[in-house]
Amino acid sequence: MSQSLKLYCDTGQLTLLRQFLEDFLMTTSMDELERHQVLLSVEEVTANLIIHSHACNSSEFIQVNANLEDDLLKIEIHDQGAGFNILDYEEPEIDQLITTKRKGGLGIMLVRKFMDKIEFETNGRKNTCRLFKLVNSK
Amino acid sequence: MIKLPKIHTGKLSLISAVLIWLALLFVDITRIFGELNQLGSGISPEYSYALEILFFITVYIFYDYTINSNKNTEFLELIWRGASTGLLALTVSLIIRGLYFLLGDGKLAMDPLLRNFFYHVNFALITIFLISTLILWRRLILYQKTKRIVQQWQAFEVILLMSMFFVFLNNNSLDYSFLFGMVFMFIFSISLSVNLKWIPYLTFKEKWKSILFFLIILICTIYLFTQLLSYSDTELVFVNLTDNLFLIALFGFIFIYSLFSLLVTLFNLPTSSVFEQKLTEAINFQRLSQSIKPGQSENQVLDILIDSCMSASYADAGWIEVIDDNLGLQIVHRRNIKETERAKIQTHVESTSPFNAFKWDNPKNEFELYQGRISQGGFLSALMLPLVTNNQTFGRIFLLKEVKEGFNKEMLNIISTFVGQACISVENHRLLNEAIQNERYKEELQIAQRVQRSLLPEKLHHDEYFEICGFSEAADEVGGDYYETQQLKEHEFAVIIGDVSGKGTSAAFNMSQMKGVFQSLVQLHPSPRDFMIKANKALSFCLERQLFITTTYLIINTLKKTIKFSRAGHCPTLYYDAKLKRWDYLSIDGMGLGIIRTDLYEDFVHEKTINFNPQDLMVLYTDGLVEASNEHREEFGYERLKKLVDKHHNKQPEEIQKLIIEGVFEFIGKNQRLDDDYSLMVIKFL
Amino acid sequence: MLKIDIQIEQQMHLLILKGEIDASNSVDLDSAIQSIFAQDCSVILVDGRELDYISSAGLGVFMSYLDDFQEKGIQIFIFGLAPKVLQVFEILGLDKLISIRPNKEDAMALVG
Repeated sequence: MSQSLKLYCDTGQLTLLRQFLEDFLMTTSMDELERHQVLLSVEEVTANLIIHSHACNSSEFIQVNANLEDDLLKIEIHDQGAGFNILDYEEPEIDQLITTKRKGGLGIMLVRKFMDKIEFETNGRKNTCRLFKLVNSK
Repeated sequence: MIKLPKIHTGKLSLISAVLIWLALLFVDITRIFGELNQLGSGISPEYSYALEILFFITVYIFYDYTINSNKNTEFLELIWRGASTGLLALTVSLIIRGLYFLLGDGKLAMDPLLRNFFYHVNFALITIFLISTLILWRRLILYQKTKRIVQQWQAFEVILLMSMFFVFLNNNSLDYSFLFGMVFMFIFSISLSVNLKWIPYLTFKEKWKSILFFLIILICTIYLFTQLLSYSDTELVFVNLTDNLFLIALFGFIFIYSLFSLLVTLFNLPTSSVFEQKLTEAINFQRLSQSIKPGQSENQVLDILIDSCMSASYADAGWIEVIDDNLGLQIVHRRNIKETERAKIQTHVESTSPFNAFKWDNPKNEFELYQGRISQGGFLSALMLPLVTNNQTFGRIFLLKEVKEGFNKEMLNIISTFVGQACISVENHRLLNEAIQNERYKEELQIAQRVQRSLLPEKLHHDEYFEICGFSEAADEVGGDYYETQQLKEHEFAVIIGDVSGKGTSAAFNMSQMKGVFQSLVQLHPSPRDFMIKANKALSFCLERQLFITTTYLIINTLKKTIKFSRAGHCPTLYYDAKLKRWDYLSIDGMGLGIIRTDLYEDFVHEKTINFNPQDLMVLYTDGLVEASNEHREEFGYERLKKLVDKHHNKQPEEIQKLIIEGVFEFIGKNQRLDDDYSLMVIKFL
Repeated sequence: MLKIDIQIEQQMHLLILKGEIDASNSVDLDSAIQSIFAQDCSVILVDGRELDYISSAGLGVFMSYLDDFQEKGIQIFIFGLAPKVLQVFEILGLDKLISIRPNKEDAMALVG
């Protein structure tokens, strides 16, 4: 099963994203907590892209594909541009974040903790971030 | 201890013979003197006989020694020695006869003592002639001896020795026992005289000379024999030394053998040239077979070949044509013919049947032989044989004669043999050269192997968050596979695996270039994608046009727990995700290095980052592994590799590596060998 | 959609969050806290009963004031978070820095 969504680079579009994901995830056997984890992770990545890679330029867009194959959920987030590789950032310590008042680190922490696997692929122009989560069939 | 002086057999026997002869003379003269003066004989004839036998024996020893001391004497010289001794005896005998003729009926002529003296001189010379010739003939008879002939000869010598003592039985009277002995020994002589194997080895000229010498010997023998007979008729001699069975038998033997030799040599004269020819052929054959010695070139072999064939077939002209790798067809040896004429005749021959049937690429050329009639430049028959080594025709030999049907069966046989032998020599020569070359290559390859082994790392860099092991095996002595690691920072490691297209020495050479590229670029800490772009650029300058390198470059960061990698056409890395419990081939786009040598290449390189978790497993390998095929031409493949590793993913990397290699070899079967280099790296995260 | 409401109850500031906080509206949360800050205040009670969603942007706002709260001796409590939202605080270890209680009563009991 697979669905996709095109988002303009505007943080206002994040609600749209959440709606899209919620709808998609409702069709899976995931419980509320798990759905929330995925929702949050995807939103974090997307928000990062909109704000940092595209500077909220609403003429640019991001493509999100959601896919479930057997028990593996795969969310792909495509964009074009400089790219934002969340794996390039070390997982921060929470105390560090408080003292440095760095806001971005929290999102990365969340993605790493909630998702089972993260991939980032680039050819210099097109970037894809893939998030995987194992769906425990109950 | 008394030091014995070295006994000189020759001199000793000579002195003894002279002394014994003098003693014999003295005894006989004393006896005659006694008889003449009616003093009554105090000396019985047995003394003379005994001395006579001693004389025979010492003369025999002397000649046995002198003639046998020089083993390498030519046959002709041996015969000449016999003839010259005969001539000496004859001359002395004639002088004595002449002397008596001059003396007429004078008192001195009737003096028994003087007569007796001359009788002894004649006796001695006849003995010397006969015994020396006996020993000479022994050499001739025993030439190319067999055991039977040696035994026969030894028996003959024993009988001769016995015949010396016969005198004690019959006192030199001509009775039946004497006649019987004589006939027996003549028959024995005849049976010995058929041993004439030396005759064919004389040249035509030598044969004529030997006939002359034998004639001299025969004349001497006849004359001396009649002389001897005349003595037995005279009443003047009281003790007859010459009517001895030994001497008579020797006369018979010498005469018979000389006569046989003379006749056989005479009849051998016409066939002598044929034998000489065969002998030359045999020697030529030997030269051809020996000419494989290192250092001698093919050209020398062919030189001997043309000469041998020319002489074997009495050809009037001939040449050899060979294919040279660089120069094409070349005439290497030309005999008795000018180049312009040769070219004209070759054109003529090649257009004539059966020669026009010849084809250079006929695989059966080795057994082909072309002969036929031609009419060009005065030549009426021609013969052509291909020269073949290892089923490849490398040349032709042409022989021409000025007569029709000039090549008979025997000539063709011998020429084919010569050509065959020469081709073997050439082939051996080439093989030898090849072997020497190979030996040199092998040595160079061993060096290359050592160098290449040193290019592969002994130790792979890692830290406490992952384990790593690697293995590489070349299909040839050296290979084009490459893997290495490098520590970039405290928690960052670069890992590379690569495969140069092709295999063997050139691949190995390019692999070392890849190592150089890796070692220099790694210093700049590029991202995998940048690494590929820069490596592609660098290799574009030094890699041969048609070659390329596939590679996978990874950066493992154990702090961020990420693996960042790019793939340049290389086999996708097999990855086991312990959290997702999934096997996957990490396939991303990426083109081999050196395929696109412009900036366009950048569009084709992707880079991927993934996070790893403990117990994740990564298998990097080269295509030699997945493309290893069994006897059904079935490849090992990606699926089998995945299944194999899946079974063992809980094990240690070294163990997994070993099991993969064993699995591949089990698949391809024991009798197969891998026809490509293969390498393997196993990384396990902790 | 986010709705923020500030009420004062027995010298405690009650911050009522309704709806979803993400990168687009985290500034609203920031200005709300800022406004509480401007008033004299010793205790902040965050009512999360109707908070459906909060992303790192929203969490970051809280984080950024933690030092200031400590400096000024302001106590902050959060109560009534839905399990799905609570797990976010927990996974980041924020529950160690901000006291989180299931309901208003429990939170009030802590005020000292």
